[in-house]
Amino acid sequence: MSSKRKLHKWSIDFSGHGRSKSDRQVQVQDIRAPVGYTESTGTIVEQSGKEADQKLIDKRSWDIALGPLKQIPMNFFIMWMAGNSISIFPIMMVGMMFFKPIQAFISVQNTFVMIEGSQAIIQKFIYIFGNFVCLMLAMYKCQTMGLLPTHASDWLAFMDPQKRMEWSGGGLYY
Amino acid sequence: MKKFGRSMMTGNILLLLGVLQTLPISQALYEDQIGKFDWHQQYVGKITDMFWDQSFNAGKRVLVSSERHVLASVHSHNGSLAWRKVLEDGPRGRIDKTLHSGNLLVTLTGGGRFVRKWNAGSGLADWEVSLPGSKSGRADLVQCGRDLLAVMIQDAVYGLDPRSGRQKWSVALPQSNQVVYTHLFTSGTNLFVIGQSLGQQVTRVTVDMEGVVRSTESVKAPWLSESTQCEVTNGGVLICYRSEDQSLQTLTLTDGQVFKSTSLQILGLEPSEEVSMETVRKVEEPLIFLRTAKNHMALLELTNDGVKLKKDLPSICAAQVVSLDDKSMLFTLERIPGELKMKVYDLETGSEMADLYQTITYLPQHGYPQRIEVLMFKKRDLRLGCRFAILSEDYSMQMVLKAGKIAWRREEALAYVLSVEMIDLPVSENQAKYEDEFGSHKDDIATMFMKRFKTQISQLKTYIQQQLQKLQGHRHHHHDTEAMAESGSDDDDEDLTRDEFNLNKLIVLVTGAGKVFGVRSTNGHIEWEHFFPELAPFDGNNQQKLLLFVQRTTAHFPNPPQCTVVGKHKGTGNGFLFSFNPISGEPVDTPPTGQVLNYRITQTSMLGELDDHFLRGILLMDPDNQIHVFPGKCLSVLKKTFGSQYMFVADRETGFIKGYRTVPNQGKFLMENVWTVNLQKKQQTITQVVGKRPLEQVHSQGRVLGDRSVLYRYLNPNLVVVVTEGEFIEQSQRGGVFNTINLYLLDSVTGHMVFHCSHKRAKGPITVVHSENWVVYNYFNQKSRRLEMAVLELYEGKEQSNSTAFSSFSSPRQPLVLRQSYIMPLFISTMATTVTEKGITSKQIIFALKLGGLLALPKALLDPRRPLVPTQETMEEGTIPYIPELPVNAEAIINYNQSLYNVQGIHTSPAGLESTSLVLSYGLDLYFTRVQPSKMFDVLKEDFDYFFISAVLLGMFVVTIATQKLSARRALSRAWK
Repeated sequence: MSSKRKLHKWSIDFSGHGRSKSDRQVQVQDIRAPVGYTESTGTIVEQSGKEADQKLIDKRSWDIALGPLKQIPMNFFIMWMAGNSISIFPIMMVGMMFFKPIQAFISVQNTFVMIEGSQAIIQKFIYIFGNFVCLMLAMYKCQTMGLLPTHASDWLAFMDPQKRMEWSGGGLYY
Repeated sequence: MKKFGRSMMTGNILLLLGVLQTLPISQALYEDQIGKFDWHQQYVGKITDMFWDQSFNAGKRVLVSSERHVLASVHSHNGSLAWRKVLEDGPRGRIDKTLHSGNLLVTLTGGGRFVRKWNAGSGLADWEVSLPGSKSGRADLVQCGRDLLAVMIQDAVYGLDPRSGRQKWSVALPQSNQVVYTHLFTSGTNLFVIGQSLGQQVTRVTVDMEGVVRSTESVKAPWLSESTQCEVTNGGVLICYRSEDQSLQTLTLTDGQVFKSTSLQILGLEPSEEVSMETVRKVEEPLIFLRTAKNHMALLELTNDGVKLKKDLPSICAAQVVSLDDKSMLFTLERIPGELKMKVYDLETGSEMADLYQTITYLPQHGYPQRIEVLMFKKRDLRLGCRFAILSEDYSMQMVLKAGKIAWRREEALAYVLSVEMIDLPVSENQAKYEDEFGSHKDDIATMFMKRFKTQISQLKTYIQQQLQKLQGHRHHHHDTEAMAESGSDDDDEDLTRDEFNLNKLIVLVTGAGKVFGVRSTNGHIEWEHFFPELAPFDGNNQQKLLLFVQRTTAHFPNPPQCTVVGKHKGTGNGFLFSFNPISGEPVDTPPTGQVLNYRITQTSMLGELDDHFLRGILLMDPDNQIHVFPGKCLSVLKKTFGSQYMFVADRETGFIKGYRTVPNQGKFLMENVWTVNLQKKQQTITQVVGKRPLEQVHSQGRVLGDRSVLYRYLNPNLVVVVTEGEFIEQSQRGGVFNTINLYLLDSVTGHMVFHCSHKRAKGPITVVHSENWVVYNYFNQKSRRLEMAVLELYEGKEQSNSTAFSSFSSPRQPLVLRQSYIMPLFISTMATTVTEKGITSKQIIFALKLGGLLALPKALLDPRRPLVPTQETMEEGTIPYIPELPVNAEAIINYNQSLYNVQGIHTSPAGLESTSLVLSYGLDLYFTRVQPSKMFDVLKEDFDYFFISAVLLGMFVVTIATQKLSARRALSRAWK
């Protein structure tokens, strides 16, 4: 099939029927522009807005980079709203708080592609830092809810019983 | 489906990983669950008196009275109880005499304290008369004609009206402070009261029917001693047997002035140690049976000239004289291997009545028959017929209705259970092959592969077979009626294989009658039984004790499980051992009749380590402090581990507790005394020494507090609780003597006194439950006059001294002891704690109430950390605020309406499910059930709505597919726009 399509690209079908979309495109590209049409308008805009564009890129990159940090006050609010009791909604909220930064870390490659410009390194650093803070916040929430195994009591169930060193038996004289 | 009740008190919620930990107070069962996993067996105890019911349903019932204070009526066709009356505990309830004639059934109990007339049909009491009672405990009761019942107690004779119980007259007996009155007899119009003065005389008081003393005479009897047995026969002859010179002394009550002596040798009987007399009541002639051995009797006739041998009955073990239509017959039973031979003789002619002769199949594990009770009747064709009940040496009661066959039997030995163990059933054949595969490590890969292949093929085969059987319908069992009649079981029991959750066990019961039973836990049927006439319990401390050790469990396939009973030999007092496979009941290592040792056993213990074949040896200590290992092959284990093997012996007589260590000495092992604790015998007596279960599983090493720190438990496996009871004289103005109780927590290896507490003005009997790191005990508070429960819990503190091993030599010296006490609103007879497989499930304490219930309360109610004022922290910890009274609600009674009498003990055992613990309560009744202290968390409930859940799942699946289709269509149409 693919070989057939390739064949179509370089051949002209005079019969006119059975043309596929790609064939049409090929033809459109082949046809020259009409008289009076210039393609230079785009370049003019490009030339005039080059500086502003850079600013926009920076601004957009900063938006991306500061995104996680901006969520922190919101997270605080959610944390406060959720309270310390363990029930389905606080657990879901804590889950979301964990999920977001982890997701961000996983897709960090894609995000970094979007971050361009001169301050990219700082922005990337800030982006990672922001997510890290979010993660810490989630950890803190877990800590306040008592979900982190930081106490000796959390490891109690894994302790083996003590080995018995001496055996003794007896009782009342029969 | 009506619910019996279910209450759940959701205590304080412990916040841990989003799991709600609730505290179930109880979980009662539904009405349709009754009898599904519990069973109840009612017994009467060793039968002392037996009568064929002569009232409205003559011949249909047997009235029995027993030494366990029970009066009962037994259906003669199947042996079930028509009614049963359990009389008072202790000496107040002892049945002195049961009298049955015609419609009259009267008992005299408590040493003449109570006379009660019963309705033989319904078991209801018609009337009761309370009398002062007899100081000597001797009392007698006779019927004189239709209108008078005469009751003799130590110092008086009372005449009662049998219809109303009204007292007609009473007469004081002369010299009642010197003479012990023992017998009451009626002859003609006179009552004779026989009194004995040891070494001096026999007093005869004649009282007439109006309650007037006619005469008081004494007959010289200088030979009268403690061991003299006296009986009064029909026809008014007093006969006494002197064991000193093996002679019989007779005295005619109406006119006799001197005793006439007849020696056993003159009668041609061989004297022996165990001579006893059995009266003959059903005929008028003065006859009496003399028993010289278990299987030798003689029928004696008493004449004015002395004793005459009427008939020598060699090799006869039970006999009775019965009369029908003025014809007296002698029934005799002879035991020959596998059978009983019954011969009947005409008493007048002495000839045998051949048409009544029969042989009865009889199992050897009942020992010798001891008594028969015959009911004679005329059949329609005027031939004589008889049915009779047999009482045997092993306390069993058997009934012969049709010639030659035992119709049913009652194993009354089961009312005397002393030790219980529940043994896992063996796995099925296929499972065993798997075990075999993993059991041996020597095989190479190829053979292991072949083994695996074979097992899976055979598994597939059994699966297909099962499916085929299912298709064919219910499988047919081979019914062997003959065998059924012999074994007494009337059901088609399946093979003894383990079920999915290992809930069904084989219960091994060791009874004080010397009988060992293997009983199925599913239905309580007897699987096997062994009777040892020579096995007796240890009875050194007013408490009978027979020990049962599980030497190897079922877990070590292909090695068979092994249990051992340790008791003492009846005759010599030496040790008596019987070792057996608890599943099949077959003897192992010891002969089938048991092994008698050549030394006495003073104390026993078990080895800490298993031998190569996973057998745990038993250590037996003899009076010379030498240690013996049973079986002998486990000696090698002791040779290796003697350094860690200790023992202790508490002596009630001296008040000393002595600790011993094992030392090798010329190829033997001796016990060397290393410590001694003196508990001051002058002030108090050691009543109990309670250790922990030797192989107890404790899951949690500590307890989580409200601030999430850990309080580590003091889990000393060698800790024992020693209870002493004593009296003290109060020094205050009022004075008086009060009881006191002391509790000592002792390390049995080092003798270190870990804790001591004392309760003044408190009295026993004390029951102690000792498990994990806690001790629960009860006592009677004399000051407040109520029963109280106290609990002690021991903790090491917030740091654990050694998390891997526990040695008594390096343990923390003074653990933290927390204690609290509570009011128990009901009186209890005993208590126990539940045990589960891994010890994860929270514990329950099961109380046997005197009212007849088994009350299960969570251990959390008996927790010394229950706060007086609940705070946030205690709520976090999950402790219930302190309330002095323990709650008793009807739903917590696990035996619902099946009342249990005289509960002697409760045995708990783990099941394969962690949530479940099996409970057997024993005493007069046996009751088996299972409890789930933390509810059934590992299995779906029986009423789980499978249909609803699967419908919802299916519905969601359908909806998912439908919406997927719909959304695809929607997307397509949107793309077209």
